Amino acid sequence: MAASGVVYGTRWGRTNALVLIALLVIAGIVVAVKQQVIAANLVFQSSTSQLATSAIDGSDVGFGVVRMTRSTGSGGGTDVKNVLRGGFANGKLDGLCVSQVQSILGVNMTLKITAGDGVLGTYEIQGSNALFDIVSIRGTNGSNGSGINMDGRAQFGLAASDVTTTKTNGVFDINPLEADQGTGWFGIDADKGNLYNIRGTIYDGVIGGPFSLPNLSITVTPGTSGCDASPLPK
Amino acid sequence: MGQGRVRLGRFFAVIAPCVAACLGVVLAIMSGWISVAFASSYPLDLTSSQGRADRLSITLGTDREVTGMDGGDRARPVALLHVSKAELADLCLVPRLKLPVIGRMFSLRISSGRTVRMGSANLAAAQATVDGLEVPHTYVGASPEDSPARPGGFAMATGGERGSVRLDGLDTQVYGLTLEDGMSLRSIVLRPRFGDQHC
Repeated sequence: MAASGVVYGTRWGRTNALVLIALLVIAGIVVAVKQQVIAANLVFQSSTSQLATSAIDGSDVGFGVVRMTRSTGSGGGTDVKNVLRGGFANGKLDGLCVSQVQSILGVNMTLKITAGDGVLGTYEIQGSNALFDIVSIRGTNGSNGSGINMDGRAQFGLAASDVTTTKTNGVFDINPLEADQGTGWFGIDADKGNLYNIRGTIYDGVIGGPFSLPNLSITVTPGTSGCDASPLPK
Repeated sequence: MGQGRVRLGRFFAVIAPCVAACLGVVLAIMSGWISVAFASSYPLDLTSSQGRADRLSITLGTDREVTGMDGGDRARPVALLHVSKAELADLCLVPRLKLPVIGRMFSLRISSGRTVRMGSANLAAAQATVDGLEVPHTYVGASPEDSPARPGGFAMATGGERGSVRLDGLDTQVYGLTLEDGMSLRSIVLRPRFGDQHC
């Protein structure tokens, strides 16, 4: 104690109380941060996306009417839609654009994903065992080719479940489009397919890899201007 | 009049637990026990010359879905990029903010010449480009089930084979970044500056 009567020194009780509060705050922050984990599970989307490419060059190609299961967009529910499933055992794309319009915060926003080397005819995107659930598809004339062509041995009107695309040990896999059995499920089978200047809408697609996407660009813009409103990617 | 002085022994006795706790948090971040989140009113530059990841997904959402934080303005529509087990070479990150009162821009350039292990990361990207992306089997039109704001929404997502996603020349601007597993750095260069700078 000082001679003046003023007491100096550390009040350990008060100090420890403050330190304890500080440590508790830090511990609370750690626990709160730890709980911020984002999981990822996949379901198919409820609405369609726009798809565009300058060309598709596919071998062992098949199309068939199938039923696909999609999300209804609420409560984890699903329903069934009839779509045209296109299958390519091997496929090359000359540029790719996929876009999707969604309402975010009450405003229509468009997510657009594009890839390509910018040179027509180079088919720089290559993949295997590709499947697309198509709502509509349209091929038009251009300097690189015209419309949709089926080459080699082409069959029209066979059952979608009999369409062949992929092989295992040199033998065609059974029902690669996973189509329903029975009448009415129309199919097209061809050794080779060339599709030019393609614009369409799809629910989903699965592309076997590995495959490369050069010059990938991801943009988010206000409005509904998707792949349909853009020049064909190449 | 009495005049106090600092008793260094006692001072360090008080400071030591707090310093130890802070170092513990840093170690927890580095070892991936806790996640790290950045949020900013101004987009952060994020670049890497080359990277690998086990999985990549792209969806549409808002920056708040990544950080859970308010960046100072209303939520912004962004592309949500999720990568798993990511390793990025030549990582560069530039957060920036406008300083209150003095109104000047302040930016911090964080770079590492070595490979940075980021674990699982979520990016709220205003835009992104990749010179070359190589991916395994990929789903177009799948949707993350954990997005209650947009159930059934669009996603492009790859399979999850180890190191199967390769990114060459990543260049993106993000409003938010969450590193779920922290960040493992072996070398880092910090360059704070008044004014703007880029990667």
